[in-house]
Amino acid sequence: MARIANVSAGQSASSSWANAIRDASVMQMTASERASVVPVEGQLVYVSDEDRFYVYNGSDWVRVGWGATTTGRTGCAVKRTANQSIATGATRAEITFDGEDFDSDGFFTASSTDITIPAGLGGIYAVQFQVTWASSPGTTALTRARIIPSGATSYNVIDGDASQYQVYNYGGTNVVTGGSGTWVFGVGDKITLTVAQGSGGSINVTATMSIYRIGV
Amino acid sequence: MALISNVSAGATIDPTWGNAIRDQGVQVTTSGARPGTPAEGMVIYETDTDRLLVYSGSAWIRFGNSATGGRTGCTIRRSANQSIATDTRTNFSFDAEDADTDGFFSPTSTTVTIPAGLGGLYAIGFSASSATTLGTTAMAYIYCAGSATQIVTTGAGANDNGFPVVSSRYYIGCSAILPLAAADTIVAGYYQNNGTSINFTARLTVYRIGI
Repeated sequence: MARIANVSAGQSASSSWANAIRDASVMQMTASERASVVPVEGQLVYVSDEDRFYVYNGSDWVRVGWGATTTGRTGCAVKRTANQSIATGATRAEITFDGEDFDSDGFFTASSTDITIPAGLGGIYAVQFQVTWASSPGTTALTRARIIPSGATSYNVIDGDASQYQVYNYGGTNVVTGGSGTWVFGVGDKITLTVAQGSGGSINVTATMSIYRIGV
Repeated sequence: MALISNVSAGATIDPTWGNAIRDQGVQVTTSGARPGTPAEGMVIYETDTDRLLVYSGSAWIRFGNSATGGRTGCTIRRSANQSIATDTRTNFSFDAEDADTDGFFSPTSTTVTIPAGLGGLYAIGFSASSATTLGTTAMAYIYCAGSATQIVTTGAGANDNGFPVVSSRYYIGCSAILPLAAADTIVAGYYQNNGTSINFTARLTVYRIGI
């Protein structure tokens, strides 16, 4: 990247300043224009049709910041809109999501239980999940995000509401449980939403889950 | 910071513009070669740390990174089984670290400490697992002390029956986004009451996501 050294008073402008001026500001361009740029390490650009900043780290263009509008976010918001029946008992059930309200990069394909971190988009993510039960799930209810590292034989969890003391009826017959948190994801990691209930019978649920990248 | 005033059409290029142009861009440098007399608002990118920094007028502040190595924080684990007695709240003693950008942690220890100059908004994640049933009132917690006492708990310990990854283990975990100051400390632990001691492994991540 062309740079201008400290300039002395009275010094004449150099013709090489043209390249320095070209490189000095945060350049605005489209995604297709960015793809044709021959970048230098540390170059920062604003991609106007994505509403995102990118910095070139020497090998890849990496998104920095959160984006300038909501469309510049990185992540997805998925949902289960049709009733899913959850049996009573200790066995966990995974929510099968049947739709999505937002998906910046193919994190999800309906219908599926899994959100998967796409290539190049590992990072620190904010996670939120919520389950709406058609009736009370009883005292042994559990709402949990399971994070399964790519190729791993173990996993981690973010626990949400877990008992009758943390289950809230917001005015109707439905009961809502949920949770939120953060996690550091790698490419190929999967996240699922699991539930259990101990009402003594099956209960229909709907659900939502979102994950959004908040850091590289 | 040098600035260029509004320029009229046909104006002659002024040599002093050089300093202004120098200051307005993102300068590429290394951590050992930062500008010696920075102006407030100056932005640099360090190729050796993969970080973007802005000069606040008194210090260089990290505000972005372009690779995982440019994160600020740590990932630590309890890899050997730790026995936690029944009905006794116990902090995990972490014995390994997978990443540590700034000396947040030194194994083996229970405590992560926010280094000088690195206060900010942190994303904290904690998850523990056991091969033994957890009892009815199992609880995982994150406890932060120092500038403010902040406790995050969850009470959802339970067997993940029926899942193919590790169907025989019992999991519990919680996470949070908390503001922390330099010298604040973070511990994470567990409570269980199944009537006997239980062996656990655990993982704790602490990463700065904002100033």
